[in-house]
Amino acid sequence: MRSIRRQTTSRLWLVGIGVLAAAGGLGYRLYDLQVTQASTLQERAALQRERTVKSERPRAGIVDRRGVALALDEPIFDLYAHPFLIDAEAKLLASRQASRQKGVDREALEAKLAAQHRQALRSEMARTLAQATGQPAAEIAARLADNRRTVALARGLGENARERIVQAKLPGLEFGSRRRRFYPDGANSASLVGFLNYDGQGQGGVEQFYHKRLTGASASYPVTFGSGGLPLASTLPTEAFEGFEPGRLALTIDARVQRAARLALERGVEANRVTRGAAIVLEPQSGEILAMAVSPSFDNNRYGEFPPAHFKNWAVSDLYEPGSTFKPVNVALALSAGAIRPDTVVNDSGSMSFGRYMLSNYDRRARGAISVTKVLMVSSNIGMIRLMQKMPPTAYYDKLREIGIGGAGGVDLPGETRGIITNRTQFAKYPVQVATVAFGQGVALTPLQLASLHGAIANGGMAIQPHLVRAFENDEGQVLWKPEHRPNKRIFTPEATAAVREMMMHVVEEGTGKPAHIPGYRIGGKTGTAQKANIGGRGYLAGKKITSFVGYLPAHNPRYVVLVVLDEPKSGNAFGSTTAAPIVREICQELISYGNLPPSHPQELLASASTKKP
Amino acid sequence: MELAKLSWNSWLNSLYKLFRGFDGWLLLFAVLLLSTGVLTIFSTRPEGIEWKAQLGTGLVGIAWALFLSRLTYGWLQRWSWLIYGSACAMLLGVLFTGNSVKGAQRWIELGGIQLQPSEFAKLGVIVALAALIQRYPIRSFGQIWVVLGVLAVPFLLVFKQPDLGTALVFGAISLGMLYWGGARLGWLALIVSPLMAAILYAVWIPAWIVWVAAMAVVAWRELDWRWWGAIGAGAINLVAGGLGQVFWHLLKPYQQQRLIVFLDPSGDPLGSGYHILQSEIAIGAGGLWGRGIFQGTQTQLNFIPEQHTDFIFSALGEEWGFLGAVVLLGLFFCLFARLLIIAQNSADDFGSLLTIGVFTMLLFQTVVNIGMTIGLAPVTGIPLPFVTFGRSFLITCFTAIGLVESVALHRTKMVFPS
Repeated sequence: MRSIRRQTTSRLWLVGIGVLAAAGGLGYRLYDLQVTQASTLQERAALQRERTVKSERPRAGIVDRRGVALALDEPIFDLYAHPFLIDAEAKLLASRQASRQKGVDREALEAKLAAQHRQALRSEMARTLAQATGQPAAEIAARLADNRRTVALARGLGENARERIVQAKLPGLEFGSRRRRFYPDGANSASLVGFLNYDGQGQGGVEQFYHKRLTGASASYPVTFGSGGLPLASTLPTEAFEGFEPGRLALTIDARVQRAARLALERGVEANRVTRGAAIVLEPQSGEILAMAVSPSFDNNRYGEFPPAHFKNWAVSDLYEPGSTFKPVNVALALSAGAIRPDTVVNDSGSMSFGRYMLSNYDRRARGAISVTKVLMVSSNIGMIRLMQKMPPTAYYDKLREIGIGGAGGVDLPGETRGIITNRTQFAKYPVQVATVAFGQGVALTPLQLASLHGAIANGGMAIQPHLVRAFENDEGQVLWKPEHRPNKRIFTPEATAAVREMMMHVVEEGTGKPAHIPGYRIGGKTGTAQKANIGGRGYLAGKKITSFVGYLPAHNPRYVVLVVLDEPKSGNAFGSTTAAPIVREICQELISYGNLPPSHPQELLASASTKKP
Repeated sequence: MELAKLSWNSWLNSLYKLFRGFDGWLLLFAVLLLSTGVLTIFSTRPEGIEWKAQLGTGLVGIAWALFLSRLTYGWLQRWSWLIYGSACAMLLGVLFTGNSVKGAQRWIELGGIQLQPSEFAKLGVIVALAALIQRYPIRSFGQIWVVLGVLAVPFLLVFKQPDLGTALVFGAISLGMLYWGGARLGWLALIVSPLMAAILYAVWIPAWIVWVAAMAVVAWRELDWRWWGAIGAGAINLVAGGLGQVFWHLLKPYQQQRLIVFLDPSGDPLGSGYHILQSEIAIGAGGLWGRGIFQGTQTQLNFIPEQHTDFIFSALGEEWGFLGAVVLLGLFFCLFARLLIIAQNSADDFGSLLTIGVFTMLLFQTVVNIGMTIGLAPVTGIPLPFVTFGRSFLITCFTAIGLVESVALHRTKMVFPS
């Protein structure tokens, strides 16, 4: 019975030692892993579960006042292929197929099948990808042939193309995703919207001015991922989602009015062979810019094809001497100061000398005793000088500064230039300074700054801050943020502006502004034909003019102020009345239907319809 | 009162008599291991029912072990061939009716419960071999073949499932029992030498040549007919090198893959090597102190596959650290020490062999399972005793404890006859 037991004592020891050795071996290995290698393995563990996640908030879109998209941020995809993975797939298919065969040289069969699959997969991929990307299949096949490196197959694919490729379940493909800016309104609003350069920086327009607000903050966060590739909820960065509401920048412009203004301007620019032009439509009550077209301009979808000079919005960035369109501003200023009255009469002597300077009317004609209204109607320079001489030069100068001359209009576009006027001492010392400023020379401002001053006349005397952005709103149109504007400031008396508006109506009805007349409506207006100043240099550029026209629609209680400026028209007989006024008229016609404005004098429509006057 | 107290005392007294000689330590270590396992399963699957199932099964197992310990284990010896026969029948049944999980037929359904007969078959093999060796102690090299012949039937049935892990456990059990039953180390070395030769041939041919020579020397020293033995051993090992290639192709592809990966886990980090690599990373990331229960990032993020079954040690290693792992190893070590003591002090050879069979089974599974999670052994799907989630195996373990306790319990009567 005890046959085994006699010999087991030595065996017990051996087995005991074996157990100890096993425990020691396991223990040693555990020590190696958990103590010696612990930090390396902890790093490795962290490496495979922690990834940096980039939170990329899409750049906010831009819409016009009715919600029409002007700029969109859309995902685009770059397609890459790793051809060696196609080979791996071919090999896998081959080995699966070969394993089902019995009794043959499996390796040779596998190699043969793999070669077939390689070919078949590549041609199938080339065909499918050619369809999805619109590239020739042969070209794709050629790029897939090299299995030593990763190749780029297509760039900037849309979501649809990507979806088609994903559905096809092709091996060895990878997508890189980016976002791209699209401008559905393109060239129409390019000079207002701007564009994104290659680095994603806003250039020009609101893209530049509101770059920070439009940019979705992108940040990196460490996130823990499970083996299934899903992030661990508790490690997700809540701050990346908090306070972020995808929104859009709502502009004050209306794409339709903008289009009308742009087309009218372009026609005028072409007809008069103008170097550059600008057309501005402003709402005088609010200071909102309804349209602002400049020429030359560009298409922000294809900005690379245009010379950089076209990117700038010169109606904001460049100064000009406004000439006669500045006269109503002077009249409103003098009336508000009480220096003149609407019924003041002055003597137009045709010309005046100031030392070695001789100033005259454009036609050098003397009109004798004329009223203020007549001064504007015939655009008398001498009349304007006489009117403004009724103010002490320093008071006049201070008033000019008060209404914003020499300052900035504060528009929300990049690169606004401040206006220029001489200093107060010079102004007081040299009467010729007063005289030139009286008819709009010797003072420089941007077209938009001039339009804003007319806006103040049109709205009853309140200074306006012209602007392009109404609000930052969510997709439902709820306002999330509104830009702050300067506090309201009165610069003209209501009576003075009412008087000026009345006078400007006469300019269109009976004076130089007749070409802007629209039957059935009353429009206020003023022509301008200025000598082109050599801004930054001295004197004037010989024979070069800037013609312009400013119009109020309707004349008495204006809802729109329209300014058109044409730089260096080369057509014969180029005056504000002949070049700019017809453009303003065209824009006003569009505004009548846009603003649903009823005719104030419907009988004119009947008359002109029945008599068919030429 | 008096009566109640008396009866209380007498009840305790009879209970004491009933379990005198019962090895409390052995059960304690088993229960501690079970608790560790339940806790770790809970940590890896807090929402699942697995930890509750494991706890319930464990409690049933403890009761079952207590019950078994009261039976005299002699009946096992009498019924050993029936037990052996039914174990083989069950394995045969699996082959025909079993449910397939992950490409292997291992499960049968009995009354709505999924059973894994190969786990119970381990005990059947232990009982059968204990009876056989007790009857025919190993005194010559030739007798080993009788034992191996008996082993062959269940071994091949399990191998066919295929369940390489259990087949290896059978092999280990028989080697341990043969050694305890009188076989010399040299004989056992000769038994396994063809397998080693095949492996060495595949890995590094010079090592194979040395091995062949060494085995010839062993045979010359250990066998009765020295020259023939030496020549035979050398020849068999030479042939085994080539035959190994043939047998290699008998393994299922996944088994081949596991063995290849074991040799170089980093060669295929996302495929089959993934298990080993992830397990090592998790255990290493646990560091000295561990990350604490529910805090193991690799565990909680499911980087380790099968983390409540075969790879439970890696979850434990990450969450309890080196200290926890050492404590677990210590618990196992104490358990094995108790088993050895019982085997040494048993009343008869059958009890001793039975205990050694259980000892070998638990030791082999523990070492291979833990070894597998730390890259010291191939991934073979061998569960960790008392700790891994698995009802059939847990019942098997507690049954084994019950049988060993029976051996312990019935020893005292011999030592101190009343």
